[in-house]
Amino acid sequence: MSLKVIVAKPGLDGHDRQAKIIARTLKDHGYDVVYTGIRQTPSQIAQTALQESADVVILNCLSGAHMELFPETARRVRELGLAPLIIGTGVIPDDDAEELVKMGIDIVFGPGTSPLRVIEAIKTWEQSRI
Amino acid sequence: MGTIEDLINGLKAGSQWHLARAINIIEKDGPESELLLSRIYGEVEKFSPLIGITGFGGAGKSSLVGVVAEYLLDRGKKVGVLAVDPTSPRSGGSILGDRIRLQHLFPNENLFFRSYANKGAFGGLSPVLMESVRLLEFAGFDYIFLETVGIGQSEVDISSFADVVVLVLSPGLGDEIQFLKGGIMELADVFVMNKMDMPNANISLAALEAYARLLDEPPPIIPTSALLKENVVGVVEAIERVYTHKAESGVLDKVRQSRREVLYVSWVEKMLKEVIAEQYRPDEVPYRAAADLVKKIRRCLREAESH
Ligand SMILES: Nc1nc2c(ncn2[C@@H]2O[C@H](COP(=O)(O)OP(=O)(O)OP(=O)(O)O)[C@@H](O)[C@H]2O)c(=O)[nH]1
Ligand SMILES: [Mg+2]
Repeated sequence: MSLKVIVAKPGLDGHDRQAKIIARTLKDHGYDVVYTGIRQTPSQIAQTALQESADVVILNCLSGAHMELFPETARRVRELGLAPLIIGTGVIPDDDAEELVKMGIDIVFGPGTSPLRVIEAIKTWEQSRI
Repeated sequence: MGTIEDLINGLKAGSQWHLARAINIIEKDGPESELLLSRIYGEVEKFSPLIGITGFGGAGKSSLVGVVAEYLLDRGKKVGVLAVDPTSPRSGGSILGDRIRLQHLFPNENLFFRSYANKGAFGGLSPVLMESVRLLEFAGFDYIFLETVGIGQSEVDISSFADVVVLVLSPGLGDEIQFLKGGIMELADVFVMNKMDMPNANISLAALEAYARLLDEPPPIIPTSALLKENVVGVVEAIERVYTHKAESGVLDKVRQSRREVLYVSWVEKMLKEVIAEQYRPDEVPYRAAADLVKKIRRCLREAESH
């Protein structure tokens, strides 16, 4: 069975090009990808992760609100008793990235990261999981 | 993690967490899955209306399910949606894009949506999907919608499986030639002409009406716009009417009987596959080996019965 990955866009920005590229690259590498679309609230994303039994949740935010929205989403996901790998992507400065990891985001990728690196990270996590 | 009993109790209480977990278990197909399945099929079956939604790609199936679900949720119903999307034959991966059309309805305690990748089994209707329907029934959902991959041979399966089959069409897509092709036109219980907000939609609607007159039992044709939420009630009422009629005439019992049969066959196939593969030796002529094996199995069955 392929891993199930949610690609979600929390926050108000409507630019979904990057998220869609990530989604498509994942599909091309054999993952089953559920894309939620734009303007998702943390609780919407959490319920999606629950209903879809997501193995991985990838958050993508370009609006600059990642410091509030990513940890809030991670908190809600885990509050539901779920333990997916949570990855943050978007326009995230290095300092923020470090902080986000402390706040419960498993891996953070800054601007210009190739989707292939996201896939590598998922593979590494998959192997360590068993 | 808990036991199967916890899971059953959670399901009966309608917990979404337990429902998702149960589906995950049957998808993974381990030993827990066997326990769970024998439990949920061991109890008296309680049926919920199962509505199959099919039609050409992009006709608005998911959007329509979205507005219909919203209508039912507003009336206090619990709604489950299972949506199947095709798997890329090259990578084995998939984009499960139906959910996006209902995402605005969340968070919601009464709506459960699950996306499935069609891994090629059963023309879209894998045993996991049928088992999921059973889980949703178990969890007390009032309506279950099943959206399947575009038009093709596979949709013929949905009519032996769903209680009511809705075919979603949209202007332009449904020119006469497409109407005449494909058995699905004869198997659908309700035709929906969606996107009636589009220019010239009336022409397509008229063409569909003309086509339907040629059928032995013309299904109702419901014009809608999922985009503008127009005539959602028309769709709901048409579904209800067909459902009631089928229930009263005994057709529904037959559909459910055939659902059980399809499941039974698919389980036996799955369970036997391993045994069969073990029996084959590379030096055998495959056809003869197969015929011999079946002969052997029949002999075993006869012997078992006579004891
Ligand atoms: N104008 C108009 N557009 C609609 C209507 N319903 C859906 N759409 C649009 O049609 C496109 C496809 O809608 P979906 O609901 O995803 O269609 P679908 O049949 O589920 O598509 P697949 O699952 O990919 O086969 C989207 O861009 C919708 O916004 C409608 O009533 N009017
Ligand atoms: Mg769809």
